[in-house]
Amino acid sequence: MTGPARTGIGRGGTHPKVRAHHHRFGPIGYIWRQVWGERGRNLLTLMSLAIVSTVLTLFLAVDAGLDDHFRNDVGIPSDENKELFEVKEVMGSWSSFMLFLCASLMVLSTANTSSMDILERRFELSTLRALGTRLPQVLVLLLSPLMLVFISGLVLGPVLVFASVSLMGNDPRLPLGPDLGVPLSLDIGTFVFVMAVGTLAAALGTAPSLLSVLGRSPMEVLRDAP
Amino acid sequence: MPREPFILLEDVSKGYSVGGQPVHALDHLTLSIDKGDMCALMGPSGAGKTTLLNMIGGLDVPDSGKVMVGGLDLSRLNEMQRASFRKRNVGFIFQFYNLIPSLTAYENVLVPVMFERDQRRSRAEELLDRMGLSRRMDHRPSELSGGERQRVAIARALMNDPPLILADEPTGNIDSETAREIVSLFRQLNDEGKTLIMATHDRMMAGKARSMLRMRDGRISGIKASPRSSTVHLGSAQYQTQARE
Repeated sequence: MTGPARTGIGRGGTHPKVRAHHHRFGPIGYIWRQVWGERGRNLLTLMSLAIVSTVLTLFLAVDAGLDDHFRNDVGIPSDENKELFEVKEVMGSWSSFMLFLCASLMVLSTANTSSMDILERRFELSTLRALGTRLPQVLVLLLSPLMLVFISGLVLGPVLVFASVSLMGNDPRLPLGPDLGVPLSLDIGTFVFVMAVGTLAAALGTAPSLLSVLGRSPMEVLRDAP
Repeated sequence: MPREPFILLEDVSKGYSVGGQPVHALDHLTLSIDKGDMCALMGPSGAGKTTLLNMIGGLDVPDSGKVMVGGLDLSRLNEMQRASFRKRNVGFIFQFYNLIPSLTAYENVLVPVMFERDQRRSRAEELLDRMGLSRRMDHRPSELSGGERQRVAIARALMNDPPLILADEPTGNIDSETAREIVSLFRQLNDEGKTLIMATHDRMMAGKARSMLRMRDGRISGIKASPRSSTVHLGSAQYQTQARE
């Protein structure tokens, strides 16, 4: 039996292109398509996270730099030390607020991106589940593109700060005025701390939309299909 | 000697709440369908056709009653086990195709085997070729017509060579000529031994099936067998016709 001639549905008359060139298609290809498909939004999220993590890293570097400065200070009073001490006092009173502000901005940024991404892809994710993709595999496909963008943004900030500081030589300073440079001190602990705050913020930002989709059966979601 | 039914529903009920009002999508439904049947489910919207397909496909579980497919009690399986069941045994075809927009036709067909080491890529190509889409493999769904998208969805449903194919309004969004071609393809698949169950409003499509169940308010309100070999059991009654030679 052969299919209708118009489109050739049925047994198929093998076209020369068939069996020619097709590639393997796995989860990495799928994840890359998701990242590239929403590159505008992903780039915006990456940049916003990079800016916030840069600010947080710089703040921590200045804080640690001032601590080091006064710890190593031989006690000779100077105008510079007076100004730096004022900076240290101001930073001390703002440190909790800065941390809260940066973490909140990270939560907002990740929540905004993940809610759009997950809600836009809810039919797709439910289709994958309907086709027999297991929940852990769906989670990999869903979260990997988001995590790739979030982690890239979070890493970019500290890396830029580390690179800039290393280019400044032995006595890196952040210029705050024509005659005032605030000492900077960076170590791996700062990087780990920024990453930990960012990861926690990303988890908090992603969880609500993730739960809203995965908490429903695929059939429920597909029933809402347009 | 009576054969073991391939699909068996015993006193299955399923309810939903829509706008705070309870809806009986399936109301104490008892039904069995033999292997190799091609069964059309007809009835008005809200009659329970899609819910019945979802129950048989292991996408949903009943509030009460038992759903058996191929001797497996789906009501007793957890979500992970039902996912494995769906992957191995069921090919779903949706009214709105549910293709993944960022992937090409070829990649969409490979989605069910995406995590497998041996992807049988030549099978994906052969299926698309069989669907008359050998020139459209690298096109995205947005570049395909409705009929082409549905054919990609059919190829995807066949990728794992499942014994059971469930189609929810498969011709609901395509022109009548393409619908006829898809019905013809379904007949071929049925002739090859696949069990097909399709929810449809399309009389032409239902007329090509071996049997037709009419649903209303979550119950079977009528049954009709076309002149092809078919056995459908409904409650205690049995309806059977023999193939016309």
